[in-house]
Parts: sequence; C-alpha cells; structure tokens
Amino acid sequence: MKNKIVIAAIFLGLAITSIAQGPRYAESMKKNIETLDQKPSIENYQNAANNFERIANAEKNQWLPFYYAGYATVMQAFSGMEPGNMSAALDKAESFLYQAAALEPDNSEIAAVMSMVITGRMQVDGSQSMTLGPKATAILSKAMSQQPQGNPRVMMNLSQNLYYTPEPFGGSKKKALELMEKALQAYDTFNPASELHPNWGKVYIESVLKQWKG
Amino acid sequence: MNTHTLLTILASVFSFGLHAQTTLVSGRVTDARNRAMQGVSISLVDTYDGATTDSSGSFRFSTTESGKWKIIASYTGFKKWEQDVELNGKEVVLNIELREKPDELTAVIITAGSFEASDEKRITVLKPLDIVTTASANADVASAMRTLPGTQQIGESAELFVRGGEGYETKQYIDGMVVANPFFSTSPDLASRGRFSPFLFKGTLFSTGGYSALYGQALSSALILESIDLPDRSEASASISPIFGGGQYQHLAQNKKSSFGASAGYTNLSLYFNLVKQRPDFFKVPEVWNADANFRVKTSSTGMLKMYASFTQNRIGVRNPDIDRIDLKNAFTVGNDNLYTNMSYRERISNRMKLIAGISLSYNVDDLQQEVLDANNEPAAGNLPFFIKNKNFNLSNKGLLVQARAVFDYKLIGLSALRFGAEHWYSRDRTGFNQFKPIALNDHYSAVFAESDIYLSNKLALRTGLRGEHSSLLNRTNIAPRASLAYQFTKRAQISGDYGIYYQKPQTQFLQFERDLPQMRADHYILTYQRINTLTTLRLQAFHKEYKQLQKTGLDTNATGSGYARGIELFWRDKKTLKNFDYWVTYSWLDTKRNYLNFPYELQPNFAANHTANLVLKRFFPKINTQFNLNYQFATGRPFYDIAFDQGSEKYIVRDEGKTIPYNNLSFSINYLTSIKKAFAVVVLSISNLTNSQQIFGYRYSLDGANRVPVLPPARQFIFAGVFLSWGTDRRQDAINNNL
Repeated sequence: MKNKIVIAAIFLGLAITSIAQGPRYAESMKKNIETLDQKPSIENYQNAANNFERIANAEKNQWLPFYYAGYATVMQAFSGMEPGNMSAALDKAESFLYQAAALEPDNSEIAAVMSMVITGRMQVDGSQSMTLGPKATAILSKAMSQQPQGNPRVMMNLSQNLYYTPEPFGGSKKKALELMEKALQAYDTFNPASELHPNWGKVYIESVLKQWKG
Repeated sequence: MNTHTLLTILASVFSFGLHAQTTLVSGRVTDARNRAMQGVSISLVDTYDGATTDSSGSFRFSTTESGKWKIIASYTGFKKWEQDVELNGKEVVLNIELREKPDELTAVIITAGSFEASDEKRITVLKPLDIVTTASANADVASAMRTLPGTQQIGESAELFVRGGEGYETKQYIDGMVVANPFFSTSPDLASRGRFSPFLFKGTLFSTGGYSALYGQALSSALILESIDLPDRSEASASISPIFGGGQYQHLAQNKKSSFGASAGYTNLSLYFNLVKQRPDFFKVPEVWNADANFRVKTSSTGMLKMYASFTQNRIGVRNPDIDRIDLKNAFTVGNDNLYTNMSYRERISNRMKLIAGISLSYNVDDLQQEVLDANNEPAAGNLPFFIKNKNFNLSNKGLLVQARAVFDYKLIGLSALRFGAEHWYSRDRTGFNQFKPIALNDHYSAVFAESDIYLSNKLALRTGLRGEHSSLLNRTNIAPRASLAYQFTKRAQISGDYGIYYQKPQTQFLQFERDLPQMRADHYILTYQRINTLTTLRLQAFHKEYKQLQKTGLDTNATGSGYARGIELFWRDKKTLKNFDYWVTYSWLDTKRNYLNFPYELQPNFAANHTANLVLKRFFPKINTQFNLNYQFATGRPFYDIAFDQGSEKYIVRDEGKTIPYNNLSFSINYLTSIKKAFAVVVLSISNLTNSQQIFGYRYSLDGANRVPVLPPARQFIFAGVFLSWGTDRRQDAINNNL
C-alpha cells in the first residue's frame, strides 16, 4: 500500500508539473524565439528580452531563457542606439549571459553572444579595439572547442573578428571568407539539441557572404 | 488512502485547471517627473505572465492565475517596483512610478576632480593606452600626466609640479604603497624618467588635489597606480632601439590561476649622443641597467596575491662650465642603485567586506660627486677661493623605506561604502657629506584613516574622510580631515566640491639639521564642473590652495613659510566628431606666490607659469595600421630670481629678476603596427620640439651676480626610434586552421 501511495504521489507530482509548466515553457519559448526573427526594432527586441527575462526568473534552472534574453538585448543594442544607451544595453546583455553561463558553463552558444557584446563595445569606443579585440578573439577561440562543436554562430563571429582585425594583429580577409563559408555549410550538419536551442544566423551569414563577395 | 481518493485528488487538480478564470492587468508607468516610460518590464512573479510598456508607458496583459500574487516593474537604472495584488477576475489597474536607482554608471561621481585611466571602469577620462600613445611622453607615466590641466611644463625635471606645488609635493603610489624614489637620480637641471614602465599598470588615477584620506604625505597631488593582475596569455617580448635593448618573458599557467615573469634591459645613450650633439659634455654617457621579476597568483575566485621586485642602476657624468670662473668646469657624477619590492593581497572576506593589504620595501643608494676641473679637465689646482673649493663635494645617501598597509572596504546600502585602515612606514636615511660623520634619520610614521561615501540619492553624494598621522622623528601628531560633496543636475552634468588638509614631512635636507619641525601643510578648496558623455568630456575646475608651515632657510631654519595658489583649469576631450580621431585640449591659469626657503618676501616661484595649454591629437588610420600622435604644449614664461645675502642690510634681497621666454613644444610620434615573421611588432618614431624652438627653463647666477647662465635642455630636440616585438601563443590561429 505504501508503495502505491509513493507511486501515486510521484505521478501526481509529475502530472501537476507537466500540466503547469512543461508545455507552457516550450510554447512560450517557441513563440518568443519566433518573434526574434520578425521585424528588427529596438522595441521588438526589448519586448522579447523582457519576455525571456520573465521566463528565466520563473524557471531559474533553464539557461536558454537567460541566453535568449542576452541575445535579444545584444540585438537591441545593435539596432541603432546612441552610444550611451548602447553601452548600457551591452552591460545588461552581459549580465544575462553571465547568468546563463552560471547554469551552463563552457557553452559555445553563450560565448558566441558574449563576443558580440565585446564587438558592440568596440563600436561604442573605437579606441578600445586594441584591448578588447584580443578579448573577443580569446573567447571565440576557446568556444571552438566547447560544446556544441561545429557551431556556425561561433564560426560566424570568429570570421567577422578576423575580417575586421588588421593583418598585423592576425586578421585575414581571405581566411575570414573561408571561415564564413564553412559556417554556412555547418547549418547542414549542425543539429540543435532541441527546437528551443539556438539555430539562428543562416540568413545573416548569407547576406554577409553576398556583401563580402559582392 | 485508496485508489478512489487518489482519483478524486487528480480530478480536482484537473478541474481546477478547467475552472481557471482570467484576470486583466493594465496600467501606466512613469518616472518621478511623470514622463511615460517605454520598455519597462511588468511581470507577475514566478509566472510567464507580463508585458512591456509601449511609448505611452501603458501596458496590458491577462493571466489565468488567481489569488494573491506579486507584480514587479523593472527597468535598467531604476529601482524595482513591487506590489501584491489579488487576482479574482476583476481588472487590476496599476499606476506605477519608478525611481532612479543609485548605479555606478548613472550616479554622481565623487572623484570627478581627478583623472583616471582604466579599462575596467567604463567612465574614465583616459585609457591606459593613452599614456603610451601620447606624443610627448615617450611612454613615461609622469610625462603623459603633463598633458593634463594643473601640471607645469617643467623641462629640467621629471617630477610633476602641480598647481603651484614643488615637484616633491606629488607622490606616487603603487597598489596603495608610496614609492620613495619614482624617478632615476640625475644631475641638477637634467630631467630623468620614471623607473616604472606604464605597461606594468592597468589603472592610473591622477589627482591634482583634494585626494582621498587613504593616501598621505603629498601636499599637492597623488599619482595612484594599480598594477596589472594576471596577463591574458603567455608572451615573450623584446625592445630594440639605438638607445636601449631589453627582453621580457611572462608565463601564464595552464589553469590561468597564476603567472610569473621577468625582464631585463640596458640603456646606453652613447650612439645617440654621437649622432645628435648634446650641449653639456657627457664624459659618462647616461647608462641604465634594469631587471625585474613578478609573481601573481589567484588565491581564490575573489583573491589575488601579487609580488613585484625591480632593480635599477644608472650612471651619469656631465661637465658644465663653472658659473663663477670662466677658466673652470664642474664635473658632476651620478651613481644610483635602486631596489623596489611590493607585495599586495586583496580578497573579499564577506559579501560586504573587502580587504586590500600590502607591504613594500625600497632601498636606494645615491652617490653624487662634483669636482672642479681646469680647462684640460684635470682637477683644478692652485690657490682657489674658498667658495670655489667648496664646490668639490661627495654626497652619498642610503635610503630604506619599509611600508605595511591594510585597508578594509565595507559596502553599505547601494553605492555607499565605508573604508578604513592603517599603515606604517619605517624609513632610515643615512647621508654622508665629504669627510663629515654621516647623519642618520630614522622615522616611524603611522597613519590611521577612515572614509565614508554616502549616496543620499543617485544625484547627491557626500564623502567625508579623516586621516591621523604620527611621525616619531618629528614627534608630532596631525589630524587631516577631507570632504567632498557632489551633485548631479542632469544625467551627464555634475558639480562637486572638495576640501582637505594635507600634510607632508619636511624634506630630508632640513631634518638633518633640525628635527623639531612641524609637517608642511596645504589646505585645498576645489570646485569642479563636469559633463561626461560616452565619447566627450568637459571639465572645468577652480581651486584655491593655502600653504602653511613651509621651510624657511637663510638666517635660520624654521617652518614659518607660507603661500597660496589659485587657478582655473579646463579639459575637453572629444572622440566623437571625427571617426578614428581623438583629441583633447587643456588650459590652466595659475596664480601663485610663496615665501619659503631664502625668499625675502612672497614671490611667484620659478617653477610656476601663469598660463599653460596642451593640445593632444591622436588619429588611427586602420588601412595603413598606423597611429599618428601630435602634442603641442605651451606655457608662458616662468619667473627667475637672483636671491642673495646683502651684507649691508644683513638680509636676503632679490638682486635681479626676470621672466623666461614662453615655452613651446610640438611633439610628434608614429606607431606603426605590423608583423615581423611570427612576432607582432610596433614600430615607434617620436620627435620632440618639431619646430626646433628655443626652450629656456630659467637662469642660474654667479655668486657675485655678474654672470647669469640659462638653464637649457641638453639638446633642443629628442628623437626616438624603436621596435617592440612580442610573441604570444595565439590560439586563434590554431582554432581557425583546425576548422578550415
């Protein structure tokens, strides 16, 4: 009898959890991830970032909502903000990414977006490129060996890093192009762990390649 | 419990879901001035439900939760707003007012009066790289500071003369510990350089007055340097120039928890002096040997222990014509050995408390000699007057300084903080002059200090500090209060006021003869207006400084000297207007007079010019990987005096006086970044005084006043060329090649 009660209790617990959160988490995440691909505007990204932050605070053990909150905030920063606001947005994005990394250490997706935060800071103050550039490079180089491997977003960011780094500092437009093409190919083999895991960037890479080859 | 009850429970759970009602939550968010706030996140805590406000500050969302819940509204830079609500199907309408939160990025800055260079803090006027790329500085920290307002253009000394203060009134601190001999020893009227490379530091704070109670023994100004933590990677580097050569290796452990490194270098100006003619006759061309070593270890996620030791040795010998007798020369020889060690430790002891501690030891030996020579550079013989014979001397000085220090930093609410600590300096100074018995001076100097930063709001902050000092040598205790008040009237613009009393022990040469002297004292009053944006900075400062208890010499040595300094300073930096182009402009107006040393009455000292201006330009051309730096420095003429003892009136009198010609210096430097084989290389070329204009720093008079000689730089221009190479482990290349 006791066993039955335990089993029943477990079943009950599972039932409540799945009803209350399971499908909702996936659905909400999916809905918000879709909005990220819609019209890129400061308001749209702000809205998405707020939604992800809310999910993140309700779930607490999931790194993806923090990751997307960080990603949406970075994209917001890149949507034509004036330098002061951009700087504040990048700080906020960084704090989301730190929270994501605390739950999911050594993840290359988080590293890819972190490198975008640094790129943003170089955009705010060009005179800092000499100190910040190598930092972005270090993060991305490490990410190359982290999970998941063959990540096209890491390759894309590293490629752009190479493209805009002066040659004496180890930059190379030729290698950048090769790497960007490699990143595009990676979408054929790269399998995100779930439909909620990051899988963005293909359209962007295509547009960059068109421009570089143009 | 049986299966039936279980089913009943399950059924009730499901039915609960079915019967859930929907509640509408809506409202509007404004700031303290009732302006609509867009982008504010409204959330029902622990649920996904919520909304973001639109451009009118309005929001609306529905939720199926019921009962008592908490709603929060949050926005970057504002305090979180929260309220409990009852969800029961009836629409909840909220009018929310958000208040600004004290935040380092938006809050008023207490230390607005100082110049900070840091990569870590976002809001700084300078970046560490600026120190290296300033055209006139040649990678010397103090020279770079000379492009900031409040400093004098002094060509005959490496020291920083700030706001009517002597060079010794500016002290340098490394990781909290004072540096006893920051510059290489040199002969009179010949500028030397700082001992420490700017690459050792990640942060520089230059306070031209009104600095924190955590530091002491500097009447005018504090140059606070913070050494770097772990390097980013292992690296070997080399410097090659016709003037010097050096090598360095820095190793970062695999686990990135510790690092060690060492460097060595040799400087010799013979080749350069053969190419570029120098005015004085250097019979011993300046020569420097230096070596240093460091060890740094991350003791925990928040702890850091750093050790640094450096040894430097330099030699100079220079001959100049004797000022009193045309047939004679003075040969001056300098020998200097210096050891500096510093160990610092910092750790977060608890959530709110941080400890910063350190010990340092420095030992400096100076051997200075002057010899009167005849026209053939042989020791002058014959029947020479007493005052000429007296010019032959041997002066040796051995100085030891040991310092220990601990500071606790306690975080109060918000940005408010309390700092307190203590330090102890033991100094032993032994000076020998000719055949006389050496004079020894030992001092135990102790200080306790406390300082509180209180943010009354995001806009208004008050800092109060107190420093108590005791010197066993002087047998005196001093209490030095400090205070700052800062008010921000718009997000970018603020005004602040600083007040403080500063003490400094009299210079050793006075203490050797008279110990019962009080400390010199300066009272600072500073008013600062600052408008700082991400890419532009405007700063206006007005100050008044009162000097008391300065040394008087002449008829008798006492501490009745006094003086004042007041002025207005401007700093404007702009990185915004033109892409890749960065410039700053400074202007300083100074009015100062003092009655000290043998001055018969209050005079404007010979290191003070009334107007000083600087223009610093930096432009990076990415296409050719080259940075061009230009620096123009201007100062109006400085006064000079012939002060002599008048036998008739038995008083010191000003026998002659005048003003030097204005000072002009246009410097230019190029940094070209390239790669040579596998090394990253920076090629540097710099030229001072491009226009080859005459620079006169003052005049020296003969004993009888009949002859005066200008104080000039050893050569009108200084040209430097060098290559700096570094080889690092660049993991990016591996990462790329593995993927291509």
